[in-house]
Amino acid sequence: MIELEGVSFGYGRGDTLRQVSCRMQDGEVVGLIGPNGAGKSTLLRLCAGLLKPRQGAVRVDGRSVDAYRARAFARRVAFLPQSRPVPAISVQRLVEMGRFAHGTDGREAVERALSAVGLLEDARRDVRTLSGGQRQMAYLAMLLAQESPNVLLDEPLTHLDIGAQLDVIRVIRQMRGQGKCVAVVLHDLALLPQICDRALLVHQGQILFCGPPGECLLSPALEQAFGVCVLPGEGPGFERRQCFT
Amino acid sequence: MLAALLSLCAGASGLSLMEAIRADGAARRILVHIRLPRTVAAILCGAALACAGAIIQGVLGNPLAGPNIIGVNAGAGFMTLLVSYLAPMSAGLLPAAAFAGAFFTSMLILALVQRTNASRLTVVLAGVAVSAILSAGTDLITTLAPEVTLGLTAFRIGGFGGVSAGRVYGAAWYIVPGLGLALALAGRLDVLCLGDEVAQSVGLRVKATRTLLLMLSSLLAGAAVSFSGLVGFVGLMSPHMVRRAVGGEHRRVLPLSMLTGAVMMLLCDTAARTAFAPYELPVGIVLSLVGGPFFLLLLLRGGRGHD
Repeated sequence: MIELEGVSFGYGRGDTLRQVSCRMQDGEVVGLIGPNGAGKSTLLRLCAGLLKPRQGAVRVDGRSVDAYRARAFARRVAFLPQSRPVPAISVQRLVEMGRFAHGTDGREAVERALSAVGLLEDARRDVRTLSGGQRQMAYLAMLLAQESPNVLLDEPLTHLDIGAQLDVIRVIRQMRGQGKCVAVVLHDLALLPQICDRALLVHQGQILFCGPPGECLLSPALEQAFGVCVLPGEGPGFERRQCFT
Repeated sequence: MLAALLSLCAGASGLSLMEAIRADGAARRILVHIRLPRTVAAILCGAALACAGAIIQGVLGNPLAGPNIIGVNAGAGFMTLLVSYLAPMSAGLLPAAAFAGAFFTSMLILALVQRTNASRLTVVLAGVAVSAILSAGTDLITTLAPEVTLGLTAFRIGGFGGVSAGRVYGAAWYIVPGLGLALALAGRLDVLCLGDEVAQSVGLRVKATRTLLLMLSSLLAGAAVSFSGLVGFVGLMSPHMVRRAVGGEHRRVLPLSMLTGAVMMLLCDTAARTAFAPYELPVGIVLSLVGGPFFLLLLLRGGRGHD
């Protein structure tokens, strides 16, 4: 469980986030949406302990982020940034690094993680030889091997084709099934109801809406944030239809 | 082993393999007091510089970085000469002084990379600028105290011609534990190569680890430079060759780079001693002749090979 209470943060003089308070529960997937520059990734980095709030408190499982030592914190929170280097190592070695905080190689955990993302047979392959979707799955396997109850994903679906997106969504659902608290930054609003139990709409450093994804898509707050009107759609396979104004 | 035996046998006074093994009298003295320290010097220097290069390339995420390219060797060399000038009788301080110079230069380059998000080539250019500044400092010492820097030319080229057993074995106290520590930290270097955010997310104390690794590479490069002079390119070439053969996992890259660096140094030194026998070339010349084109090739390929 991750809680933010009256959190403010800024990179320069101004505030990127202002007095943000929210709570993400175990066993739920929270989707962070909002326009570019709204503060979604900043919020995620605060939860990951990569940034320190100017004001307010960030708590993980009831304890302040500052109270954790590096490895103990990594055993509670796993974070996957959007951009990462592509290391010249094997998939197996990459996933093993998820066990760094545990101090053991955890062979069973690594095997389980590789199996969960369907990369068990590719364990010996060089990460550089994988497709973009497979690389994303390899990093997700690293997160699974980390066995942290809180998982933060920054735009895990960006630049992936539809097949790879579905693979990632399957893993996210699997994490929820394991009772993890998952926060995920999304840009594709159509995926919000498919993945998330709750939506957090961030705009200009504040939370404009917090509630069920379906309600979020119909909320006037969405139009305020994006300048987009989202209406219920019709026809097979379409629950929502987006129209841009 | 073969390279070491070759190194022991080769020289102005030729010894066959059997003579080297059964050496007695004058041959024994040559072997124990001249050849052996030189062979040990080449092994330690090659392994230390190659390991330092692999660490620096990993920490900076830059395949063009090497101890001599980014000015680490120049920093170590400058401090070695400065201490020789200020305290001529304190030879025991030289490895520590070289370490201080190498570490200062490493931190300077690291600060530049982190502040400006410098590209690979910018880091190389910054190394050229830092080397030029340190070179000016070296020239200043030369001008003020020519008597201190009688062996300056040999020091700048780099070689084991005048190396003494005391200096080599003294530096070994820094190099051998340093190499052991590097092997112990190989896993952390792998994690660091995933980028700051992922590394921190899996529980690595990124800043502390990076500083520790740069201190370690400075210790290794500094200790090597303190007795060999400004030997170049081993720290650039060895990790590259190893990565090409076995990939980027530092648990393999570090030990194999040490081995490759030691063998490369032994072979180059043997070639330098025998190519124009009875005259000896400093090994730095041979390494520059091999390493210069290698570096140009890397530049032409755009510094690929280590993502």
